Amino acid sequence: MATIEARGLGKRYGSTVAVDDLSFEVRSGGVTGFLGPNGSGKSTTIRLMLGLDNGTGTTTFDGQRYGELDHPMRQVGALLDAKAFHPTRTARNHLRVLAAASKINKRRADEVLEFVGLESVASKKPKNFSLGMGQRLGMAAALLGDPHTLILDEPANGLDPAGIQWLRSFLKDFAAKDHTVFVSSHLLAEMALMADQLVVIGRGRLITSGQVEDFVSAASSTAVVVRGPDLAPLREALDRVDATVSELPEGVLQVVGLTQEEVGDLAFERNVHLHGLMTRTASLEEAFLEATAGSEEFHLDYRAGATETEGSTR
Amino acid sequence: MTAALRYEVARLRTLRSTWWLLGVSLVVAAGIGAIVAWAGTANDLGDNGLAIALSAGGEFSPVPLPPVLAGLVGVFALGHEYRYGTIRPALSAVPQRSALLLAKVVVTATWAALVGVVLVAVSYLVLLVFPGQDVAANGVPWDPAGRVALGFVVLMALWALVGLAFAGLTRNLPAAVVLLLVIPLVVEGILFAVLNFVPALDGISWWSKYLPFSAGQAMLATFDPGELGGPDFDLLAPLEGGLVFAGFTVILLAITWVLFERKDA
Repeated sequence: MATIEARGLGKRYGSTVAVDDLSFEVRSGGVTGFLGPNGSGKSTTIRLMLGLDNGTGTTTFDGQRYGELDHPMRQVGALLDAKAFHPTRTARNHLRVLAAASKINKRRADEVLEFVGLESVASKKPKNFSLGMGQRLGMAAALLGDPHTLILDEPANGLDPAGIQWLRSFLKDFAAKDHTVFVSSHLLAEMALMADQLVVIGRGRLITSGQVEDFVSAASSTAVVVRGPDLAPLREALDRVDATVSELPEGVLQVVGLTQEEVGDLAFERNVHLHGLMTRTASLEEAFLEATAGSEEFHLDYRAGATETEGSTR
Repeated sequence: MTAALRYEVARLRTLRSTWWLLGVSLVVAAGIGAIVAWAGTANDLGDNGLAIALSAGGEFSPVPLPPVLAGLVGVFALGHEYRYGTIRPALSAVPQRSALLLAKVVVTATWAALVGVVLVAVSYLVLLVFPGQDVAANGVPWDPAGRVALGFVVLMALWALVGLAFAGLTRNLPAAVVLLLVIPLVVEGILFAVLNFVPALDGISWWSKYLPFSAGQAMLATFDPGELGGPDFDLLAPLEGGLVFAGFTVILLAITWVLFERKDA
């Protein structure tokens, strides 16, 4: 097991603040998703965690900074760029160079290539690799040292559906062995299936961190939907408690701020007949968009048909 | 440090360009050795001819090709890392930046020097087997042939390190290659001419002998052009020239080290 603790991470590019006093914790035993809009500082944060970018704050892996780890690749596997390899060095040799630095047996290169499904191109030059194949090679490099912790930046980019399914299953199995997984992705549907915990940032600042269920249920689009022939008494009761009520077509009420049980009990107390009572849970996407509203670096206005950019690009 | 050395040796060994640059250097060294042996009188190359043959053209080339190719090996040592984004996996494997850079310096310089030794040996073998030559009987005198051969090996290592430093300073492979070719072949030539042929600059014409690549080339010198009736330029002695070029290399590497430590990967 390993716990990642990020404390006060910060990074500026000139006058632009990319990461601002960001602190969070990643525990073993589950997949922690790292979410944020484009340009919110996810990749910069990951580079700061690994000491690849110079900034402020510290990140420790079971109390030790990355640079202090003995043979770090054997403890923390990282995937940062999909195509970080020399185009004419074979896939096998790419891994063997990294293995040499970490005193990893040369045979391990073939093992991880087979694991990620690249054994047939092990002796091929990767210059013609697709983005997905590049990601698989990057995953192979991350797994080379058989680490207990994985830090992956957008690992699903370029993968086909089968590849994404493989990645999801692997990461869940890996985390289930009390290992630690910290993975960024903009594929929210995928993250909803994969992640147990979330760290959500916007404009380099922490928006929230915690269980996926808590994040989703806290979203305003999570609501209790009530149907019945005469809901006026219930509406009156709901207006007196701390709930937000809206009327949907066909006399249906939508209640935000109370649980399904609380609404049911209230209806019982007021002797209101119900024909339907259900909880409509927000999707991770809805919860994410609500949580990060206003913190996007790049706004898309489909009505205007134009892209409005805020801040400066890096 | 050993992790960094293992990484760098594996990186150099698994790069195709390492081997084709070695191959080209061998062909050049053997070819120039054969040309000098053919051009020399039947049994007497002359001491200077021997020195020129052992240094792949030595001072008769504006820049001998093998040191330029060694410079490219140096450029690739850091330039490839930035061009292909492998600097991040490299620093993930070896997070101690100073150790990684030092390993690159040690391995690059050692490789270039070893190639230099091999090229000298190949040139000598060509002379040994060339019909009509009698190098074995005449031996290899220290001055100038032995001295120039040693200077050639040192020049190989220094060029490789300058290439590495240019890549570290620019973090851009094409820019580093351009610097490696343009500074010695164009910039220094222009500065040398301006300093020596513009009368108004007579007072500072002595600066021209400290142009770093030209100073390094002095390690391959076999004669003073002035003694043969040529222009009487103020040139450094071989050892002084080598020290000037080495000093230039150390300064570039020091700046590279500071940038490598401070900049984002």
